[in-house]
Amino acid sequence: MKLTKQLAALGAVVLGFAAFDACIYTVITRRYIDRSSSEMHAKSVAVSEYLPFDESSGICRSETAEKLTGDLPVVDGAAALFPVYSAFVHALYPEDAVSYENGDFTPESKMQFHNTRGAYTAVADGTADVVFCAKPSEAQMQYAKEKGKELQLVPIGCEAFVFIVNKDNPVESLTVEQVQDIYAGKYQRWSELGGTNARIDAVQRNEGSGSQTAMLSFMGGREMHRNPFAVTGSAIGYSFRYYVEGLTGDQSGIKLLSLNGVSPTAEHIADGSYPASSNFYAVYDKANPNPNIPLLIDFILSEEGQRIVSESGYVSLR
Amino acid sequence: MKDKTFRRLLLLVTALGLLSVIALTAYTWYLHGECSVLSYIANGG
Repeated sequence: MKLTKQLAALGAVVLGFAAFDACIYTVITRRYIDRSSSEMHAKSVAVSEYLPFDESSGICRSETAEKLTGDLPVVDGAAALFPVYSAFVHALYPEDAVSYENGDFTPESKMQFHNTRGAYTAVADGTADVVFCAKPSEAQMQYAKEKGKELQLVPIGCEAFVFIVNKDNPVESLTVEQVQDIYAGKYQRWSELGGTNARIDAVQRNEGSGSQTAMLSFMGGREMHRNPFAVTGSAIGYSFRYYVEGLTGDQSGIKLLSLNGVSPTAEHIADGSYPASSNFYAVYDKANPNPNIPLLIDFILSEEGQRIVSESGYVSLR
Repeated sequence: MKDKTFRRLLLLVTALGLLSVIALTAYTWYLHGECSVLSYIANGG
C-alpha cells in the first residue's frame, strides 16, 4: 500500500511538470517558432531571389537606360526596398559592379544590403553613397549630424504602413485613433473593439527599424505600452504593405486591417484615401561630390524609374 | 520502497522537472529574439 502511494506521488510530480511544460509550449513557445526560410530569417529578405544580374532574379528589368560610368555610388537600403534598388542597379550599373559571394555582398561591391539601421549608419559613415529607406528616426538624423553629414531625402515612391492581425481575428477594420489607443494601452481586450475576449498583444519592432520609426510617427507623440501578460492574447503588429504581401512568401496566417474603413491597396495608397501612406526615399549626403548621384536620382524620378517602382509592386509618385 | 530511497527519487524527479522548465523557458526566450513579427502573429499570437 505504501509503495503504491509512493509511486502515485512520484507519478503526480512527473505529470505535474509535464502538464506545466506542455501548457507553456502550447500557449507561448509555439508562437515564437519562425516559419520563414533561413535566408529570410537571417536577413529579413530573400536577397538571393532579387539579385540584380541573376537570370532567375525576381526584379523588374529595364534595358533602356544608359549605364553609369566612372565612380559608381555605393547603394544600400532596407529589406522592404531591396527588390526596387536592385532593379535600379540592374538598369544603371555594369554587371561587374556587383559582387555577391557566400550569401553576402563583398566589400568592393557597389551594391550592399544592411537593412534600415545599417544603411543609415553606412550613409552617415560614408561607406554608402545612396540608401533606400523609409524616413530616418531622430537618432539616425542625429548620428548623421554628428558625423558631419546633412542628409538629403528624395521621395521616390509611396507605401502603406499596415497593421496586421491573425487571420482568425474577427476584427477587419480599426480607426487610426483606435490603433493609437491600443498602443497607448487604453484598450486591453479585443472585445472592446468588436472582437473576442482575448487580450490585445500590441507587438512593437526594434528601435531604429523603418517600421518602428513609422509607428512612432503614426502615434504622433503618444507613448507606447506593451502589457507583458498579453503574450497569451491575440497580437497586432505593423509593417509596410509590400514587405508583408510581396516579400515574405506564404503568410496565410495573417491579414491586413483596414484603417478608417479603407483597405491598404495600391489604388487606395495612390489616391491618398488610405490614411497611413508614406513616402520612401533615396537618401544621400548633400555634400557628396559623386557626379553619378544626381544621374541616379534623375533616373529614379524619370518615367522609366517610376515604372520600375510601380512594376516592382510599390506605388509610384506618378 | 524505503523512505530514504523515496525521498531521493522525489528529489531527483523534482530536479529534473525544474530543469525541463528552465530549459523550455530558455528555449522560448531564444525563439522570442529570433522570431519575425509576421510569423509570431501567423502562429496565433
